[in-house]
Amino acid sequence: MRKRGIAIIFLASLLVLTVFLFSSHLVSADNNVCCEKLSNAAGGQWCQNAPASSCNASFQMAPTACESTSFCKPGTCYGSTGTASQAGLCNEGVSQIVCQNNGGAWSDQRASALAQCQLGCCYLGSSQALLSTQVRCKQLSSNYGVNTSWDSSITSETQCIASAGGDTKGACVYQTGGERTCRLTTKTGCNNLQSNGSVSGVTFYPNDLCSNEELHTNCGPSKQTTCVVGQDAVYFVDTCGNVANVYDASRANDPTYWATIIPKSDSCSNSSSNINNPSCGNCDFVLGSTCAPAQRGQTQPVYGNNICKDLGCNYNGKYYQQGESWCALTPGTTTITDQNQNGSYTFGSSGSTPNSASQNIPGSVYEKLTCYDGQVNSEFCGDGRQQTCVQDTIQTSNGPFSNAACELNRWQDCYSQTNETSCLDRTQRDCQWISNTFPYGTQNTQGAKKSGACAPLNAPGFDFYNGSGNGDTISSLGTIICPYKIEYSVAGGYKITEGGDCLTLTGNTAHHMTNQINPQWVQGMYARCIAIGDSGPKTNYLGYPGETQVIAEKITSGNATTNIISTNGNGIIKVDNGNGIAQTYKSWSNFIRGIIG
Amino acid sequence: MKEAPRSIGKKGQVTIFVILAIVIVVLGVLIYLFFPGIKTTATSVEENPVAYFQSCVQGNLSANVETVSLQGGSMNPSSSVVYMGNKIAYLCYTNQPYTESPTIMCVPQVAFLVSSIESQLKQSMAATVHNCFSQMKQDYTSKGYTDVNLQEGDFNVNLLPNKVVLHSNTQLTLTKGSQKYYDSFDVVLNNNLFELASLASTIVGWEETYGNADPVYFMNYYPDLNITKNVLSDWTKVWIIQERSTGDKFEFAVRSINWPLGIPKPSNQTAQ
Repeated sequence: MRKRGIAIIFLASLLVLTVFLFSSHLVSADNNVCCEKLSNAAGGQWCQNAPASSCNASFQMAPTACESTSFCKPGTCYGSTGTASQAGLCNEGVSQIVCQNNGGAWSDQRASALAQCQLGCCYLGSSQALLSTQVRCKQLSSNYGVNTSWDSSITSETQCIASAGGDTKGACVYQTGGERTCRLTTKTGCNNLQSNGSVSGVTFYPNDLCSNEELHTNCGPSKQTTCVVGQDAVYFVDTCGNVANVYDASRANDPTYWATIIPKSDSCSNSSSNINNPSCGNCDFVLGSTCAPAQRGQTQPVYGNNICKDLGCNYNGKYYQQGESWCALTPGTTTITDQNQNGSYTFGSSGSTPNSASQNIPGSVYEKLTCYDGQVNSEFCGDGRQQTCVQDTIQTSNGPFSNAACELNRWQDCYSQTNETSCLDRTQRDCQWISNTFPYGTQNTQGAKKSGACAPLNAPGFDFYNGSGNGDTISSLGTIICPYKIEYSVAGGYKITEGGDCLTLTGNTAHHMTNQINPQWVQGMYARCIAIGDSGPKTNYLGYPGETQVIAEKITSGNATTNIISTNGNGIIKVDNGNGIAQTYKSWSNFIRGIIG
Repeated sequence: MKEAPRSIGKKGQVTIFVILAIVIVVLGVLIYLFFPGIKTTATSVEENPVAYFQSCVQGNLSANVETVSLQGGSMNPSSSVVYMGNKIAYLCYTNQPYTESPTIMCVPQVAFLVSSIESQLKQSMAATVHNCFSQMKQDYTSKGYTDVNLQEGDFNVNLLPNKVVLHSNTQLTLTKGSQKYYDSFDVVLNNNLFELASLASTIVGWEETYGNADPVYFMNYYPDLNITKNVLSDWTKVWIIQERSTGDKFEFAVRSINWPLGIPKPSNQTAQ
């Protein structure tokens, strides 16, 4: 009886040489002082927990967290009353040093506990209100040149704004140059006009339009329209140039529509965006339209030159409404949909997991796009797929409306999950369960069970370019050794008595024995490896293959290395048996067929 | 008899030239009176020290306002990120990676941003303001004013709604026959830096509290602004707030809670 035993080593990466503990503890161990200011080389920021060597020596440091120090403890910074732009302002969460640098006074109390930070309702003029401190309210009076008043009894923003009421608008009729004319303004504005010596007989008619026939002014209905700054809708204008009601072609000749002010909410098609509606100018910014001049060659209004412009976007042949956001299909990523908003993601059109060979590959980055005011803005979700773009769609009266967000890719503790339930707990992490394989970190198949491995759902990128990074360490979790043993007996010939998964015998095993690494085992281990993240040879996001790397090799009893299998990640597999002739296969299936038929 | 018409012709020609000259002069006067732009240009700077000061300071003030707007409210950011060739100041920063229960999302690097910008602009304009007054004194003296009494006072730069105002308390007395007295000088720049910086402060407040903010949320409140957030590889976020109509911009950087590459959670240490 002869025995041959040794091992097949599956290498997750060629660079698995140095193993040290994950560095989370190292990070916290290093961040053992609070630097009042970092050195210029470290960035120069105020109040950061960092290694002592990163502190600026001219400033204080303390061997504790910044929140516990006197100089960096967050508190409330309140403005000096002597400085107009600071007066009455209170900033919470500001450290003492930053507050002092900016000329403020600091307290370790919350703003709500400080008398100078007490909020009340500040009325600006007669129609606007906001929540502010009393000192700030007085300052705003000076900034905006309006009278203000402050009410300490109102501390809710909603209540404050609602209480502002507003100055009644209406027709301000007056006599000038022998004519009885009119201006649409507020009561206050009309009173101000009264004090103007050049006009006489000023009378205010609340809620009336200047074109009201009963007022007998020289202002009458017209077919002209206008856009008003700060307003969404298209408005009629009267013959004196005053803004009238929302443009409604069907009521252009209706004297009652030119008599009193009709709220926008009671005007034509008030629940619609009225995009390119030639008859109704009741545009709504939130619903995706605003007043704009009609473009030549496009829909023209029945009257006037203005129409409700569409604020939606056309992107890659698809139309998106104003406010819609969606995920861009950037190279090497996939569309992730969370239709039920519970982490039951769909990848692409129907997959429950991404394809780890072509999706979430090195260099790929997720991107969120947003349509706003006819313009598409993009937001990258961070390098290394530390965030992924997830989208869903809701149905509205205007059709489907998509929403997207850059969501944190919670891959970090996948590898340590040892059962399927905890692995797939989407409330805690974003992982996928690979069944019928060895858990990550299993270093030897002998005695180990194929109890399944928990891998990131979206393979993350690692900082391979950073010498002190952890990519190699994490990738090494995929390294595994498979000891094998082949026995021979006259009656039975050659048999694999250990490591049957990873080795295959070929030829006439009764008298002659050829053994090779089982290609199916290599394929399984390769899939297990690349699911870790940017581990092992992979094609990058531009479609370029990686470096050709050894992914498995056989070590014989004489410590010779044979049957070296390598790939560049794009399906080309090379097998070198040490005889000077390397066999190349164009795909995994070819490789498997070529070895075991 | 034949010469008479020629003699009348000469006189007629002279009359026509005189009438033309009068018309040209009258037109000139009318244009001068009714077109203020031309009038302003035509007014001698030496008679208007306020305009002199405005003209001398405005270019520099405008350039500095633009610089400070593109650099996160700082003329010379000490803590910054380079983005599209510009150094952009961090308004809130943390170097800490993600933890399960973060105690702080980022540490504010500036309190009262508007006030801080005013202070930065004041510092950056000090030399210009001083040089302009010195030059003004020299110019008025050389133009024959018998007494040019200039008492340079302090100045401030104030960010106000829709404008930036440089207000100097410098007093000037000019004597050339009569005496004119000026008790202050203002330079006004139409700019929305006040509004943009105020919104930047609000966004920083969100980043400080929640570790993130959504540009669309703010655009819903301020439809006249285009707001973008660009996430860089180290999780620095460069925010750009731009007014759609004028193109006025304010750019600033924030690095709040971040997720560095390849750092697993501490519980993973048992995986070895």
